[in-house]
Amino acid sequence: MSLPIWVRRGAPFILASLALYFVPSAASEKVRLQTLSLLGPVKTAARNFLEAIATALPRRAGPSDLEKEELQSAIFQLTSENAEIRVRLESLTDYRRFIRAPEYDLVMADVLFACDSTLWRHSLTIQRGSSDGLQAGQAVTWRNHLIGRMTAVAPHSARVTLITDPSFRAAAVAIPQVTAELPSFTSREMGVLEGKGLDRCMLKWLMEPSVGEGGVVVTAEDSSAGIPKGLVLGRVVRAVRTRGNFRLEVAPIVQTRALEFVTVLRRKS
Amino acid sequence: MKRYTIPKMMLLALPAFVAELTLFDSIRWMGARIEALLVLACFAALFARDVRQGLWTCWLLGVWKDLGSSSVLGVYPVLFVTLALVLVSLKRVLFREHPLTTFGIVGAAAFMVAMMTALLTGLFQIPLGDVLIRSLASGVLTAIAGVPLLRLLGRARNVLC
Repeated sequence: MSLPIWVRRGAPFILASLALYFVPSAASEKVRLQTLSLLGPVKTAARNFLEAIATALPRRAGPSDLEKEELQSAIFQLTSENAEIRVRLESLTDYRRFIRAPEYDLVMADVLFACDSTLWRHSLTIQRGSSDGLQAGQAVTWRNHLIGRMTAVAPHSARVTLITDPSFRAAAVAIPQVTAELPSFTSREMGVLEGKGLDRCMLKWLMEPSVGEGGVVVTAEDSSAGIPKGLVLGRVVRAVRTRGNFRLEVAPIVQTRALEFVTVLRRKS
Repeated sequence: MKRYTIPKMMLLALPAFVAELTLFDSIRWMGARIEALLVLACFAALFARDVRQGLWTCWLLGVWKDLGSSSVLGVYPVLFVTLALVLVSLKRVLFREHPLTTFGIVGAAAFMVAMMTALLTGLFQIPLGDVLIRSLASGVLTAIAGVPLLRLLGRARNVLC
């Protein structure tokens, strides 16, 4: 019995795709990241093109109006640049104010793509890499919030696995009874924060139900894993009881899709 | 009838890929977004000169899509080639240019691809209800965008030759 022609034609492609599974991820990730870093100028060009179209559309004014418009546009550009620099400075100041971890250098990195092409994976690509001393495993933050962890590094780009990705795990605590002055650390209990592939995470393996109040802040706990204690992971949305222990559904506070830059914590040599 | 050439389709995949990760990602609905490369793959399979051209184009589009993913390499080439095999075998009985046909094909393809990638990413990690809802949303959203996009691609076949 002979197989239909489209099955015979398709078999080599299926086999070639399956062969790609066996390419070591250390090698394939580097190639992918290097190719993505080449798309940086394409993305910038596309953004500039769209901006140029947007500014060119309403031009029906006289010469003096045009001059005024150009000056206004220059003012707007300078103001936005100023705002961006201020945000970057505030981000660094916030981190230093809340987290006492002098063993880390802070490396600012621009975000190339703020999402993953797979619907269920959560990662972002940054425009810094091993040439800037970045390595896999380093924590990535925005202000005093943990965004994720570096998982693959190429010379000029790197991939950050976000805390909502299904492969993300980190020790974390929910801090109950936050008063106006100081947080109470009396009933802190450590759990494991796992990404769920959605826009939420789950803090698992908790024995105490008292920590499951909505709005409670969840922070990183285990500094030995390269994530300084106290970095904010998110807020508790609800508590779920499962087979004798408790799980807390945690929503990250930072909207990662809107990020333009992040800070990588590079351990001082 | 004029078709397309693979190098031109790959050139078209570049802005589609960038748009998918930037513009389309910013207009998400229920966690799903428009899968631009999948729409291109549907077009490539439906309007291929022969089986071989359809399979080659879909495989390469799958590799393109894999570039932006942190999943294992090879997931999208397998899915896109499977999609191409199904569409190539069905295209004789389909009225390819009808909006309802393209809506159904693109929607079903996006739903299946979302379901399969969820299965491969974490079978027991992502709640099944959320997988179904987001996959359906992906199917509907991509199908809505797919109808005008496929129509536009069909009209631009002179350029793609």
